[in-house]
Amino acid sequence: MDRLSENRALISDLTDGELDEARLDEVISLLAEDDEACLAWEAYHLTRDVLRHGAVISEVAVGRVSASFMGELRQRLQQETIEPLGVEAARQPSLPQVQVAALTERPEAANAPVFRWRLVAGVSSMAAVAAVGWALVASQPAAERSSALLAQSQAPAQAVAVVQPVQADAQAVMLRDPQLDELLAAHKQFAGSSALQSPAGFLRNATFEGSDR
Amino acid sequence: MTSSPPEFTPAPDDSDLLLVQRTVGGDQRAFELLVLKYQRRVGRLVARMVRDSDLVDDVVQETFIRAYRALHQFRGEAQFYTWLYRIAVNTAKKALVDLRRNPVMSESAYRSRDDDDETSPVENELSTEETPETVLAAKEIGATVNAAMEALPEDLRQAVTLREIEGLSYEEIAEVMNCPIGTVRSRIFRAREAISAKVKPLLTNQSGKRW
Repeated sequence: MDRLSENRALISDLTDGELDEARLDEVISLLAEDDEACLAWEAYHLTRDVLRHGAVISEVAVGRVSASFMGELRQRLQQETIEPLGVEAARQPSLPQVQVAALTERPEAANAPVFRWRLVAGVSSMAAVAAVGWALVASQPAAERSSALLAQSQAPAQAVAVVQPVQADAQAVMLRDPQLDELLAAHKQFAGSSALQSPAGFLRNATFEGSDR
Repeated sequence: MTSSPPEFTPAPDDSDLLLVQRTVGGDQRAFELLVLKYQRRVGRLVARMVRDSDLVDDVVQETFIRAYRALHQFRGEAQFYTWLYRIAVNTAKKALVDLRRNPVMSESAYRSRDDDDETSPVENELSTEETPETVLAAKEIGATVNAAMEALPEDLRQAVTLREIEGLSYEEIAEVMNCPIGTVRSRIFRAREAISAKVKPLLTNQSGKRW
């Protein structure tokens, strides 16, 4: 068997999926470069179609594509990139240039391991925490805030009870007796609780501690 | 030539997965072999759906481009042509929508099929675009193949029949014919050579049909 016949025998093997994979490159190159080999590939498949599907499919033999079809398609294919992953059985040891190009031309993902994206994510997180914290503080009622402040320290509690009348006195308008204020402050546990139980109880405890002194 | 059987034997009848793998690996030439193999069938399918014959080439080309882009998604669970068929149908539908035209076929004609069934209802419908010349050429090719088959020696005809019509692997044919796999390989090749010797002139004589 001469060389050409042997080449076509390899094409026949490929047609049947029986070609040794180690020779695939050789056969693909042959088919790409040799018009006769290419014609054999086409004829083998056409024969198969006719034998398997009969007269109806034999009409397929009358190709409807134009002569320039493959040339145009080849040009378009060269402009295309193909994803390198996905076929489970793909076992190519090295990625050709077209794959590398596909990887580099893809838009960078926001979760890509790039420092600037991490920086953006960190700043965004801090800004979100600050915004939420500010919103909570701003939405807290003024009375609660003063109660919380009162509970934090004993001195302000006394100042509320005692010092305020002094300030009022300085304005020469006595609205109520300072002794009465002291009495109320000392017996605040008998007063009604507010709807906000926690701050009220907190305030009450603080008041007790203030009164003990 | 009649060396020991290859160690790597994909599923019988299909070099498609091998070529897909090679294409995904970056070899565009492998995809061109798939185009060569299927362009007629895709062309016929598209011609069933698109009235405008000038549009057929564009749709077929777009089908293969889309297939090329999505090739990494093909996992070999279905026949490659079944996968390609769906792309072709969707591409043709989109082309029709774009042109605000109605397809020749109804929706039911190209609804989804079983993966193993490669012969679609769409393909088997007669096309309004067929001319007496194309029908005659098709019949001529069919008759030529059949005549070439009849002229084959018995052992070659049996081998190629078991392969092409019954779909047996080389190993299975070797068992049936009680001969080495190398002999099976040689018989199938010689049968193909004899048939294609008759078919090739018809292919090359079709103006505008060869690339």
